[in-house]
Amino acid sequence: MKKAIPVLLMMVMLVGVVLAGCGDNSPSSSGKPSGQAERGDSSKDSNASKEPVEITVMLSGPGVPDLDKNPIWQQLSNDLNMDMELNVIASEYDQQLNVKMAGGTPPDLFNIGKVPLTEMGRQGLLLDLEPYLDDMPNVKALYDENLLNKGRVDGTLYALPKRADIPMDSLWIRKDWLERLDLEMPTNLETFKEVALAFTNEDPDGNGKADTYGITGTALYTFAPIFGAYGTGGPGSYAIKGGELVYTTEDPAFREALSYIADLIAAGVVDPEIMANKGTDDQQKAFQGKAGILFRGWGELVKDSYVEQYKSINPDAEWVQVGALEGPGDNYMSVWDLGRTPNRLAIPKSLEKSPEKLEQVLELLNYVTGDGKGQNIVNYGIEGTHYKVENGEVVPLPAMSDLDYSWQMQLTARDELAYLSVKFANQKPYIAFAQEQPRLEVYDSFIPVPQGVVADDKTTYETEEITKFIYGRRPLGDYDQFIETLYKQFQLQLYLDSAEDTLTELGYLQ
Amino acid sequence: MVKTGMVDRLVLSFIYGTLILLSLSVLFPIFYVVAVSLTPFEEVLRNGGFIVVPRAITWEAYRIFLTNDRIPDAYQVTFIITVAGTLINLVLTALLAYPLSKPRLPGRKIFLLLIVFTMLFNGGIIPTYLIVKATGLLNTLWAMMIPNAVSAFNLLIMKTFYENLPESLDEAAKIDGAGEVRTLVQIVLPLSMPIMATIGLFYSVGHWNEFFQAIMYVSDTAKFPLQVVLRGILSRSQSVEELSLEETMPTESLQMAAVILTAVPIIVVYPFIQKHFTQGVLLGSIKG
Repeated sequence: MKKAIPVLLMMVMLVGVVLAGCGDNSPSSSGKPSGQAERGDSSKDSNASKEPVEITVMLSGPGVPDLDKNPIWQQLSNDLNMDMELNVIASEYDQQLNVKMAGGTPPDLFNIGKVPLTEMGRQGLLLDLEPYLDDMPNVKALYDENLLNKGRVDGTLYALPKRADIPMDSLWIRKDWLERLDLEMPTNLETFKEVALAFTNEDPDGNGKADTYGITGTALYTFAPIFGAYGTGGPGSYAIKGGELVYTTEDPAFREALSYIADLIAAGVVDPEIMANKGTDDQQKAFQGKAGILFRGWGELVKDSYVEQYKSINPDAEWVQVGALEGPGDNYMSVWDLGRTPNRLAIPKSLEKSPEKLEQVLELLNYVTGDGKGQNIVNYGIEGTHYKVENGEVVPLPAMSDLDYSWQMQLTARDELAYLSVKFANQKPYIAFAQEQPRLEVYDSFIPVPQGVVADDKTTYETEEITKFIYGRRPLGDYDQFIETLYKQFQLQLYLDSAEDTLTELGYLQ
Repeated sequence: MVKTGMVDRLVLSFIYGTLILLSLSVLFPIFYVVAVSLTPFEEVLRNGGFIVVPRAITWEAYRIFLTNDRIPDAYQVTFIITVAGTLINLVLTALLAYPLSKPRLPGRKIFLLLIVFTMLFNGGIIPTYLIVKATGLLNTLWAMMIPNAVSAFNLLIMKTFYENLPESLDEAAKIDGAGEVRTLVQIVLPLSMPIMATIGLFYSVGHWNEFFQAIMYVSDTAKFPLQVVLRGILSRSQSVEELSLEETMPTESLQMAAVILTAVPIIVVYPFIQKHFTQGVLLGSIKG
């Protein structure tokens, strides 16, 4: 038993030793020390007389390198004489934003989702940005009313939306399979079905096994181009047809599309796991040669790294884009949400009390917007290191590939097409193809969820029932009943009223 | 005799066979994880997404993690909060459980009720955040050790253990002139190594996997524990709306390598603690 005392002593010592390591003196690789060192060099600047202004910025994203390894961050800090603390948060973003707001320590500039934007805006926690637009001439010049509307709640500009990107998805098909089976590129719903059947039953990979499907994809998104061919969109979208608001699930064309899809599934040409596919599962199945048709963005099919990947699995494989299919409707490729924005930025109301910081935040936003120097830094890095300018065009240097995180530093996004043609020069034709496809314009992201309903419940019910319809678990004859349930149990009318009001207010509906 | 020998052997081989199958069924997933983490991802895809024996080996996935600047800091942070945090947990839990195991403690029922209450209800994220902030723990390693330092569940297990120690041990110590503290430190503590090892393991695995408190209370990237850093490397944009064209989806090989990097240190520690689980509780304390 005497052994106990030394053992205990050792434990206490160990605690002491370990706890000593917990102190604040551990070398911090993030931020400030090196940040201030940076500033030592800028003493020649005219700004040097001023102390750098400290601001905190919180963004959602997978993360960026720390200041000492992040030339974009360094350059912005230098140019604007600021001490920016940048937190990029990979998980539980909304919750972290909530506690920071509630804890009275909101960041000075932060990303915000659509739902929290509505809530916090109505609670008066966010700064109305309208009066400050004049302080940001670049923003004012580039943002039109349509774009600003994406950041408005009840008519007040509580957030600055990121500039919209461009449509990137389209149908893709295995060209080498088509050639092997001597088939034409599908152009309409009939030939599409024939090709899907042939890909399933006629052994397109020539391995003698029936191990292929025509179509793969993720959930109902798989069928976006089919809804498009019928002139409608996937479930739960708000479109305007002939001056009238149309809820796609209710659209008669939607019902016809469902019966076509049900036929495809009954014919066994659709990957049976589409409802379970997540992330890039479908892309990987396609690369493995398990399916020959896919609806996806070009970013997941023909980016250099992915082409390398699928060619290394099967050197003969060749994925090409298919144009919008002809059908009974207006032949759209899919829908395009006019209200869409990649993200939004808000400033807390409380920052009004620190005019110096507010000014710095506005200066930052202005600097990274527009085609000036600031925008080039966040887009392409440092001139001479990451890119050079030839005949007024940005030409990437090899070091640019180190900046794969730069999109997170692009606070107000970018001029999408110009940006993509610099960064994805090899993909230019695919980018143009996807962008030129006809799309049905929808307005989903503009429409606030009406109060007192749970939108997720409605979406879940809608998706579940539609899945039953296309898999033949519920006869399409029940469709009217299904719509009735949407109205009675899930208050569809409230959503439609909300859409009607909002779209009238924004001038899309007369 | 020969016949029984045969039967014995049959029974034995059946038992061993079953056990071998069982252990294989446990080991196979681990083996699979190792195999995928070491295989070039193209090779995995070429085999329909499933491989058992890697035909080509690459350390690429591990290289990506181990050359990341944040990994050394992250291992250090995780090591510190696991060791220091577990010690804090054990000391505080034992100091609370021991007195509560004594029926003669005044107000024992009320304390127990309050403790059980915390198992059923808690203040929620925002109030807890406010407390952590008010106590100055924000952005320190303490934020990952002090909140939840005593888990009510573990406390009750430990209390039950102490209750099962014979009262006569206590009395014997008292007769020999030991006070309460001496009884706890010299008599009870040495006897409670099995429970300490068990509860310590619960706590330390919890600290090793620390994620939520870290992301809520710590914003300095140098103080991120391992899991947060790994998650950062693995995750793409979490927002479905925002596409990151420049980045490529982390491959399955990368995910499996992350599993190995977090699981191996804990697996290595297991055998050293395991002996305490099997040891008799009252080994040699009281005879008869």
